[in-house]
Formats: sequence, structure tokens, C-alpha cells
Amino acid sequence: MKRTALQSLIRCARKAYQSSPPAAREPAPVGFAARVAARSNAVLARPRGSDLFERLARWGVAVSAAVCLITFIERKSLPEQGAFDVFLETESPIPPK
Amino acid sequence: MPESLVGEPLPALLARVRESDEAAARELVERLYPLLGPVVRANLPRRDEPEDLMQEVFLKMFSRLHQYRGEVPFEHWVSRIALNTCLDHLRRQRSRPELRMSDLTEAEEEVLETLASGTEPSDADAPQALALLNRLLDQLPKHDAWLLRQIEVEQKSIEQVCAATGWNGGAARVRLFRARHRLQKLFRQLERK
Repeated sequence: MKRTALQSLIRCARKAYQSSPPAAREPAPVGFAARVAARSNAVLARPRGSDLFERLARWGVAVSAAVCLITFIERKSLPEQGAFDVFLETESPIPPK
Repeated sequence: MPESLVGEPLPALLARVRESDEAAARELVERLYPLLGPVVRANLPRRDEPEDLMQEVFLKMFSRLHQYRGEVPFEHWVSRIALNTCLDHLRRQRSRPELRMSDLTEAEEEVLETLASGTEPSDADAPQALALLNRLLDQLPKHDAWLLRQIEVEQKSIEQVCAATGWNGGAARVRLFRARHRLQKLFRQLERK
């Protein structure tokens, strides 16, 4: 019942909104465009933080990729140690001569 | 005599604005003002001056112009900036204190009584019903109130709202569900009073 009352209120409010005239498209007040345009140069010329961050992020990605690639190549050139070699290295009771 | 840019096509005008051409920037503002004026006035937070907000919208547009790639019409892109600027201002605005029966006008009280008796208010009561609904919406978080106005009063679809704001559809649906629930709760509280 209460839900219906709220819905009735909304339905009725909608009628008032629909009967209101649409917003008029007014031209800019005198001097407004000149004022804003004068400030636009300062905004356009300002170094953008997002640009700097973007550049930094790109450099970061490039450096990380290069480091990964070099590490991969380095590791690949090393002879692979088997499980038995590792066991011998760590568990051998006889010290190497 | 300065060169007239009135008939200049938009892409050429934008290119000139990007090159810091002040005359082109002025022409762009003149062209967009009639489009953005109604957007800002329809979503204007209390105590904010439309001119100040319009100025902020245009400066934001200029500062982000390098991000515009032409994927959507320029007018849509700028309208979205205008709407989101208004929503940012709305978010900063505090909700009104709790609504009491004594805050209502006589006509609004009559509408509430009509509704409580289970009858539909007449068309003549529509302005009062809208005022009463606005009072209730003023109690809600600003984004919730804005969304409810768009959906319930202006009868826009979620898709239209998302296209205008850039919101995610799922998140907007959840917000709408919660906003409806909050409005219902407020209405019940007012009825009890």
C-alpha cells in the first residue's frame, strides 16, 4: 500500500515535469567567451600531469620488459642443474678437495 | 579586422584551438554554450552559480582536448564533461537535514494526506507532488537523488544515463536499487510523522 503511495507521488510528479517547458538554449552572455578563451591558453599550455605520468609508465614498462628478457637469456645460457646435482651440493658429507 | 570563424568546420576549429588560437577558442565557446547551458542548469547544485560552473566546464574541456580522439561526436564528449562536473559539485554538497512535517507547505501536506488515504492526487496537484518528491530526494545522497530524478521523473533509461555519464551499467543498476530503497524508507518515515 505504502509502495503504491510513493509510486502515485512519482507518477504525479512526472506529470509536472512533463508539462514544464523545455530548457531554452541561450547564447553565451556578452564577454563570457572572451573571458574563457583568454584563460584557455594557460590551460592548454600547462604541462599535463597525466602526460608525464603516462610517459613515466611507458618507460617503466619498457625497462621491466628489457630486464625480464635479459634475465631469461642469462638463465637460459646456464647449464641446468639436475635434482641429483643439487642433492650432491647440499648433502655431501665429503668436503670437496 | 579579425578573421571570422563562424562557418569554420568543427575539426578545423579544434585543430586551431589545440594550437592555442584564442579566436578559435572563443568561437568554440560561443558554439557550445547553447548546448551546455541546459545541461548545467538542469543539474546545478544549490548555491552554485551557473556561470562559474560553465566556466569550469569549458576550462576542463580545454585541458582535456588532447584526449579527444573523435570516437564519439564532440558534442557528446563535451556534454559528458559538463554532466560529470555538475555531479562532482553535487557530491560535495551536503544533504539537507531530516525532513519534518512542519517543513512542508500546506499544499504539499495535502498531497501527502491524499496519498496516505490511498487516492491518486489530481493533475492540479502535480507541481506540489513534484515539490514534495524533490524535498524527499534532497535527503538522499546527491548521486542517488540525481539518478532517481533521471529515471523516475525524466523517464530516462539506465542505458541513456550510462551513455551520458560514462557510468558502468551494473553499478548504476545497483545504485538505482539502493536509491529506490532509501527513498521508500524516507517516504515511510514521513508518512508516519
